[in-house]
Amino acid sequence: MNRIRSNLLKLSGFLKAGAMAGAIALATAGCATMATTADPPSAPAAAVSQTASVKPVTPPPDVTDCAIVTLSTPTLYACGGKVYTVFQLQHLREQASAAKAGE
Amino acid sequence: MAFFGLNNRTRGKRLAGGTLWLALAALAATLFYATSPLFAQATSGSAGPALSGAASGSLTLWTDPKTGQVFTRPGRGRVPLIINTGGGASAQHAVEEQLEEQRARTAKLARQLDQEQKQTAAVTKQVKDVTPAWQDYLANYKNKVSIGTQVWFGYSLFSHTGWGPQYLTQQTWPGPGNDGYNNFFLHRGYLNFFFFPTEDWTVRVTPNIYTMQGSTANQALGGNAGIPNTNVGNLGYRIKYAYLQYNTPFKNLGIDAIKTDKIVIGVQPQPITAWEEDLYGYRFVNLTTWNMSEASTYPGLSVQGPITFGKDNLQYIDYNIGVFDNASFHAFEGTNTKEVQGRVSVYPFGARWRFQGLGITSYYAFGYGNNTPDQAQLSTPFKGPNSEIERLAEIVHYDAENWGLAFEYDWGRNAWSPGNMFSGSGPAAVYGLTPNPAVVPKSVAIAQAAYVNLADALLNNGRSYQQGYNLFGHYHLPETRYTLFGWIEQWNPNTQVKNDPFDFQRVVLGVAYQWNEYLRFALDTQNTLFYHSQYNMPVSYAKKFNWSAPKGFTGSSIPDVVTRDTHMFMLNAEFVF
Repeated sequence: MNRIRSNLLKLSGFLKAGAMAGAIALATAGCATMATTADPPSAPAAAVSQTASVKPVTPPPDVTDCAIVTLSTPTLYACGGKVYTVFQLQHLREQASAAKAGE
Repeated sequence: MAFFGLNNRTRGKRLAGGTLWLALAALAATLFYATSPLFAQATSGSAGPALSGAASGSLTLWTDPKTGQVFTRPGRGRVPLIINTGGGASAQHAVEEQLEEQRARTAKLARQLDQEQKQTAAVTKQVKDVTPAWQDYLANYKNKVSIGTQVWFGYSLFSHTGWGPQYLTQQTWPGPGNDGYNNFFLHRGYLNFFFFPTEDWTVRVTPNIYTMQGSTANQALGGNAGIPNTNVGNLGYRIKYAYLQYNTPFKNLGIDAIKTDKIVIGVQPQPITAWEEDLYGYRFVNLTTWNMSEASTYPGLSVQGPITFGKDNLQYIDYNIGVFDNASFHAFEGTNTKEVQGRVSVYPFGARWRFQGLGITSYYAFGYGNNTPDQAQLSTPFKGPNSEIERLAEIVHYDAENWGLAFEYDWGRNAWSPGNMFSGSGPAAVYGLTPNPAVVPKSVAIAQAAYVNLADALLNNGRSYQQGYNLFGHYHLPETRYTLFGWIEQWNPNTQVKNDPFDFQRVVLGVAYQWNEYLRFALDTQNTLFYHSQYNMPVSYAKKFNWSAPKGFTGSSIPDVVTRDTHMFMLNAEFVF
């Protein structure tokens, strides 16, 4: 009986220690998740160097700089030695505008 | 003998108070584990299984009557204690039956589920089979049909109205004395439908608007009512183009130079006008030269295309040769002959696109006036409508992406009529009408009639020769949306006439603004200049061309044969999709 009581006491102590460890772990985890908002701000992104090797972006052809090939459906224009439909020119122009707006 | 693991001493102490409880506990345990067969032991005390009777629905224990103890085995002084378990086997059987029933039900459900899964899979497959068909249809439709429009709209303000040829199709104005006349007008409203059923074929159908003009007679409705003529001035739709184009007739001949050439049959553009309009680029502002007297579209059959050479596939020749009705797309064909037309454009240095670089173009057409054979041979003073008709254009042009310049020489035979001369505005008598005497006094009306007869004599006699010179071009102002353009022309309707009063120059100057890929505007001035000094033509000279005096005319000269100039400002808009 004494042994059982002793064993029970030991078990109780173990359980208490484990519970406390678990609580400490949970508390630590909770603090860890909250700590991100309080992290020190990251260093600002390095400015692009003027001398950095950035690939130049070719501007799209402008319809005003193009010659009429055919007035039809669709109209064809010649720009830079290539022939485009008006839909292609419009699409290229809108793509370039969107890219410029996103910069 | 041990009883549930307790020693004899302990058992002895507890027997008095706990005997019945132990018996009940043993009974409960036995019942709980009644699924296992319990081995019966005979009452003679022979060794054997401690418990028995489960299979038969009863439980046999042994008890000492003296002490009340219950034993699981027989022994001295012990008597059997039989406990009826109340049909354990049947309960087990019932449970087994229930389990079996449950298993059967589960199996049935499993079969049903399997069947439904198979049905679902079948439906899913059907849906998958159907969806791609729709997607395929839409994808194919998208690639096989092209629908667009071409709309030209303008506002014109005439600082000086006069008689003369149209600047634009569908454009007319009142004659001299109506300075300040202005109007909005729609002069092109194409609906372009292109169908590409396969790579070999293209079908085009293009309705276009036109201004309805016809008899001014009103109509009777019943015996005592009438209704007005509502045709005149309405904008109706007619077919401008309706043709079938065979894209690959020469593809398999093994001649790369002509593999993209085409054959076109139907109501189609004739070889010069549409081509020159694209070269000029400002057809939404003014007509090109031969379009002043020749329709742009005829029913016929043509072969056309580029001829390319070299590894870069440069275009060195572009041509369009065909045979057409003598009647245009808005007239009935009456002849038993056909008109042949052809244009050849040579690019000596090769062209990367249609007009690029230096080009030399020749155009020639030979046909007849649109008249039925039985009437064409009748003797008439003016054979123009029944005559052979020839047209020629020689154009040297240079086109770059930001500018273009062209010089054109034109020659014709019986290719210019009074109807062409006064297509924009003309004296009433040209159209068989009598001018309003409140506006035009009788003496002036007679003089105008004499003038009209002179037009017939000089332009409709069946032996007239035309000649013209033309310079046109455009220049895009860099870094802007503006382009300057111009068209300067001299036209001699009959080179056989000395000091022809109908000779004129046409000057068009303007600036265009490109709003986007589809929309352009232009502001321009357009002028028809009858550049000879005013004079009276002797009747004797006029009669050499079969001129005849109108009723009431008795003079020896036809007065004021050089008509006044026309000056106009115009704001044009073009939307092409």
